[in-house]
Amino acid sequence: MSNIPEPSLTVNGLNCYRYDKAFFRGLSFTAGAGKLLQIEGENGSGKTTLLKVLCGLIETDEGEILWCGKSIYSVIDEYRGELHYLGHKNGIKAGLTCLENLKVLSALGNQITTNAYSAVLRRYGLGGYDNIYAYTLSAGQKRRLSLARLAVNQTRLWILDEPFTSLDEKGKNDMKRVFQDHLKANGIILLTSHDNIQWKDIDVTRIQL
Amino acid sequence: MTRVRILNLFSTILFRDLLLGVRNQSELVNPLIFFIMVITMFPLSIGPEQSALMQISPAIVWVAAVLASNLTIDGIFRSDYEDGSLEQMILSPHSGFTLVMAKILAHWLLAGVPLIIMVLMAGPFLYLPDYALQTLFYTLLLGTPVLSLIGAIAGGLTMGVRSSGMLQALLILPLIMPLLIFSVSAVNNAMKGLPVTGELYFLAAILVLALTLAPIAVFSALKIRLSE
Repeated sequence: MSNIPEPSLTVNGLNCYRYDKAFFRGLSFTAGAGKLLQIEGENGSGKTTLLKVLCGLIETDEGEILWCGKSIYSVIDEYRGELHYLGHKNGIKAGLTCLENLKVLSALGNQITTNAYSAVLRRYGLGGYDNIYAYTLSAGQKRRLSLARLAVNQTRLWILDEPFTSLDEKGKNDMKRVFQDHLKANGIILLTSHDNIQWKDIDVTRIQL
Repeated sequence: MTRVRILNLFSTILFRDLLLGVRNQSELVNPLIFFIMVITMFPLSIGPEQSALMQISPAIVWVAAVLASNLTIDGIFRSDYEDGSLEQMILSPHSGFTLVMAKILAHWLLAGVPLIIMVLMAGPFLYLPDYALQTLFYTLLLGTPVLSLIGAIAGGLTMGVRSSGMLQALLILPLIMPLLIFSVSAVNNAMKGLPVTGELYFLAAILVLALTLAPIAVFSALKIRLSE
């Protein structure tokens, strides 16, 4: 593992126009290993669009996005193998049980770190819900299940859109611990949130859109 | 290693879709009921004369099959689009071809195969002689996967569009006309005792063409729709 370069995500002069409206212009930043970046902005300022651009769902109009120094479009498959994206939508099938959902999500990824899905569910506050259909879960529990994906595939870059939506205080604290571990392992986290994240042991870099 | 993962992904998605399809029975059964309704209404309305029914029954079966499969294509991608699963699939590092093929195969197994079985059971109502029924079976075996493949293109392009039924029909109908023409003429020829291999070869060629090109179109359609 030692010859793998340190992860870094660099954005240079990113412009985005959508629906005849300029969302952001000349956006530049770098996220290095062990960094948490919070993207801030008003409703409709283009936070979600930026995250979609960063994970390659939307192609950029102008500017470049570099992963470890290479344009993400030239290494798109490897880049996606290094990436977890969690959008507004949870990506959970209501007609599947928690365990089945987690299995499907893990098959989509690259490095499966664990097969102990029940233990993962327990860690994310869903202990005993293995064979419960996802449509019976509450909104917060669905969010937890969606976040549990972070534990089953090992990726270095996490792009999370409002990860704390409908989570309770305990859930937020659980996530803080997960984030801490990820940052310690040289991971990168990019997230949007309307909460003002103030965690004394995590350094948050803020980007204003 | 990657091959194992891709196979694993293919089987996981296939199994997932089959599981969801079997659990959501109304979506599975509704098109079949529609199909049976169309098939039974013709003998009732035209009258039970053998000669008249025999002449039009291949056309009835095929038109009913096309319309019934039209009912199902909305379900291929819509729910995955709405709950965000599709986003996760497209962002997978594995090839989109695998995902799309798994989803289309699942759709064919859930929508196409039951239809074929239904036709075999309904054959006697329509006075189809054995040889014609056999030919009808072959045309459906070659044709229903094409309906799934082309349906997936339309389903992918129109997911997230409200009341997309009309749009889907407009997208699909021109593409499946050759299928309809060759299939019905094959069965008609079979009833006259003429050889049908020519038509069946054409159907097989259409299937190969759809198998090669449709997944590319479907994947592009999904990417376009998800980048909005």
